[in-house]
Order: sequence, then C-alpha cells, then structure tokens
Amino acid sequence: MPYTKRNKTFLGLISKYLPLAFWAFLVIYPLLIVVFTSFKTDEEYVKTSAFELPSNFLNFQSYITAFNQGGFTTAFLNSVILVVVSCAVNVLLGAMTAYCLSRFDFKGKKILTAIYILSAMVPSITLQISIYPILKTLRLIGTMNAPLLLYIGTDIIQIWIYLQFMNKISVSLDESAMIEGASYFRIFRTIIFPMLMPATATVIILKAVNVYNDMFIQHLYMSKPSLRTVTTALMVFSGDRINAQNLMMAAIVMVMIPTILLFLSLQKYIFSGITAGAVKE
Amino acid sequence: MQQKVILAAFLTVPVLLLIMFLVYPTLRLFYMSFTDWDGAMPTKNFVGMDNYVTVFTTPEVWLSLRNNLYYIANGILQNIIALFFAIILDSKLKGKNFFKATIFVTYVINSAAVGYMFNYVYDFEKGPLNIFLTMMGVEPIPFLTHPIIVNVSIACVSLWRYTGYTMVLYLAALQSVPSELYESAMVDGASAWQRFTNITIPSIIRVVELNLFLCLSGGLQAFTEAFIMTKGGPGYDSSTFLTYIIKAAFEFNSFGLSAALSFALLILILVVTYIQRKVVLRGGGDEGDALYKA
Repeated sequence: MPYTKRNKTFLGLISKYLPLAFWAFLVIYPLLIVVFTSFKTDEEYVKTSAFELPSNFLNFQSYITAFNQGGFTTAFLNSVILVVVSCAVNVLLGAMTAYCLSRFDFKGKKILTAIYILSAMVPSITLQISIYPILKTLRLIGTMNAPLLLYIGTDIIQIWIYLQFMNKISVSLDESAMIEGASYFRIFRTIIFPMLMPATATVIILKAVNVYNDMFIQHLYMSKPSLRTVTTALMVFSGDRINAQNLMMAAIVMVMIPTILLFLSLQKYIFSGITAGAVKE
Repeated sequence: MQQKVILAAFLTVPVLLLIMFLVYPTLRLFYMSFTDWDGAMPTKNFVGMDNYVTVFTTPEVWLSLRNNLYYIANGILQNIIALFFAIILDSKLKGKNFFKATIFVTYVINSAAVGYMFNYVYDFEKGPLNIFLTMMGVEPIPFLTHPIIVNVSIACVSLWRYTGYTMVLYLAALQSVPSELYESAMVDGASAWQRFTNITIPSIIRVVELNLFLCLSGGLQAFTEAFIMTKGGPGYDSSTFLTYIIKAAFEFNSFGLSAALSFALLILILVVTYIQRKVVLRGGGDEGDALYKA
C-alpha cells in the first residue's frame, strides 16, 4: 500500500499499468508466436512471416511429426520417472534431516549446517568435472541412477523449506507425545510429518519443476537414445532439423505445457517455495 | 540413547550423500587442479601450479570472463526492473494476480525450450524480431553472430526468464514491511522518494543483499542459455567462464585445467560475496534494524 494514497489519479494508474502491460506483452507475445508457428504446415512456414496466423488452428501435423521423430514417448516417460523418484526421496530425506536439525542438539550439528550453507556457493555444474569420473568408476554413466543420485544428493533446497516450517511447529506437541510414551520415530511419523504437508506440497512442486527443466545433468549422464528426457529430446531435435522451425515450435509447446499448467493450478505453493528456499535462516 | 538411534537412522543416508556428492568432489576438484589428468588415463602427474598459470595466460579464459560481465550488468538491470514491478504489485491494484503470474511464468518453462524459442526469435532471416525491424525500415541485426551483440542477446534471454523470480522475492519482502511505518512517515510529511530510501530499502535490505548475491554469482555462473543457444560460439564470441570450463573438460579432455578453472571460479564467487556483504550491510543494515525497533 505504501505509495498509493494520492496516486489514484488517471496518470497514477497509467504509470502502473503501462509498464506491467509492456512486460506482460514481452512475456506472452514470443510464446504466442511459438504457438502460431507450431500450427503451420511446412509450406506455410516457408511462405509466411512469423507474425501471420496459421491458416488452420487445428493442424496438429507438426505435433504428430515432432512427437514421433523426437522420441517423445520415451522422453516424457523418463522425465516423469526422474521427477517422481527424486521428489519422493527428497521429501523423505529432507523431512528427516530437517527434523534432526530442528529438534536435537548433537555433535557436528554446526559443521553439518555450515557445510549445507557453504555447498550452496559451489556451482553445481563445475562439480560435474570431478563427479563425472567418480560416477564413471561406479559404472553409473549412461544410467538413470546417475542423475537421480545427483538430484537427491546435491540439491538441498528442500532442507531449508522444511526447516522453516519445522521451526514453526511447537515443541510442546513433541513433549506431550513423549510423556504418553511415543518414540521419536513415532512422533516424526504420526505428528511431525503430517503437519509438514504444506511444506511437502511446496517441495514436491518446486522439485518437479526443477528436475523436469534441468538441462546439463541429463545431457551429460543420459545421452543414450533410450534415456532421452524431454530436455535432451529437444536438444537432439534441434540438431536434426534446424530449418523446420514449425516442428521445433511444436516440440517446444509440448515440453512447456506441463509445467505451465502445474504452475497455473498450484501457484501458491510455487511462490511460497521460491521465498522459503531462497531466504535461509 | 533413543536420540542416538534416531539420529543414526535419519542422518546416515543424507550425510553419506552430502560427503559423496558435495564434500568429496569439491576436495577432489582442488587436488585435480594440480595434475595433468585427461579424464581417462588411470595415471596423472603432479604439475604444481601449471594449470593456474595456464588459466591466467589463456586469452579465451579472459574473453569468457569478460562475457560474464554482460550477464552481471543484466542482473543489475533485472533487479531494478523486478523491484519496480514488486513495488507496483505491492499496492492495491486490479489484476495484480494476473500480472504477477504472467511475469513469473517464464521461470517455470523448460530451459532448453526457452533457448530454442529465442533462437527462432533472434533468427537472422525468419526471426520475428528482424522481420519487425525490417518493417520499421531498420537493417536486420545479426543477434546471434555478432561478437558483442550475441552476448547481449543471450543475456536478455536470462533477463526474460528470471525477472519474475527476482520480483517474487522482492514482493514477499515488501509485504512483510509493517504498513504503520509508512503511515507514520506520511504523517511526518515524507515524500515518496524519502519513504523509498528511508523505509523500503532498509526494511528489505536482506533480500536486496540476497538478490545481489544471486545476480553476481549467477552472472559468474551464466551457462545454460549460452550452452543451448550457441554452445559459446561463433568461435569463443559467446563463451562464458562455465561453458569454457565444460569445453576444457569434455571436449579438450583437460580435466586438470578444467578443475583449476573451476577453483578459480569458486574463489571469485567467494571474494565477490565477501566484498558485497561488507558494502551492502555497511550501507544500511543497522539503520534498518533500528527502524524496526522504533
């Protein structure tokens, strides 16, 4: 509210809406051009300019061709596996780690927290220089396990999100359960974890988007055609047919629709995840 | 006793993963930087500081580092735009949820999809941008082939993608500033600019600091867009520090050199972060806390 009181004039409103509308246009218009182009036939693509609408908005030919040529059945399946497994394991390990860090004092707790904070400084892409040989020794290159281990082991945003929620849950709940004779494990399973549901939803959605959209790890460790993901399928696709942009645009639309829909339906969780994951306290 | 059991049960796997994929690789990176390892041979020779000397004497490294400056400059611009939009959206406004979602949505789109989309937008002949310029009577611009322009073009893609993210962080911070602060300042007759510099900025200084860290360290780590759109080309024109590191390891098989470059980057990030903390927090951190107490 801070700057509004006197600005309810027409000019005041224009000065707010104009920049917003301009940026919204910058966001939406390129996406629209992608959609327009994806509905054009090969011939239409060559003959028309990017600003012209396709003659038929129900021409899904590019989609069908792109889907088959890019191997998108495998790609979507592999991406879904990566997303589901890394979300499930991250939720479990993240909640368990945060529970220990929030509820107990133990030797090495400070060091552990310090390592978690410092590791956020190390660029994950440069780490691949030394992780790649390690995974090679373990014979994990060219398997789904390599990216899974990295998504589970090196991205630790879920720990911050869980810690913030956990610190808001009153310790008196734990204590009264203790008096009734519940074990720590039981407290975690029946009290803490269920109360963390909003955090879990946030973690899952944020992780799903990150894993689905990630590029380099999938490119490096899953280069086999049978291990193609949506991201690497797009990369292969671009190398194959650089001139048939109508096919490329159809592929792009297919790849970006799932996360956009997820975001539009579950905005609240993404926004809270962004804020909780960034501000470490 | 019971506590020890639960700690062992809950922390063993996460700590093992942490050691295996973060701590050990970082230490190994440091060790590798003093060897001439090619990534495949079982043997490696200790070469002392040779790799670090190569880092400082290779022109492509400096060219790549210079290109990172475009991303840092762009990141500062991104912070200004994001803060501006966050302030607008913090007021009572019809349709603000629509604008918030629209500006943010770019962040959730697949990185490769964004890269290839802009390869089309920037295309010299068929790209919508150049068609538009031609219609306006301007010569088409070689967005992705000119040695300087290519960096600006790619940096703008990251501006497009991350402005909404930065905006959401600022917006969350702004919404937590107590409105009584503004009301009492208005009673005292403070102007909008005075309210901005004396209340808004000090109150959100920690998020400003966080975003500046993300801007600097993100700028130094610029990679994905360049890797997808141009692979650092043509030549080394759009090479960034990170695309060069990856090239050194996986194309030239110089893992030793690549490790030295990685370590140089890590130190650069730590130094920049340290300096920034000093500067930003001296510039208003205490003041902000005082205001909160008042």
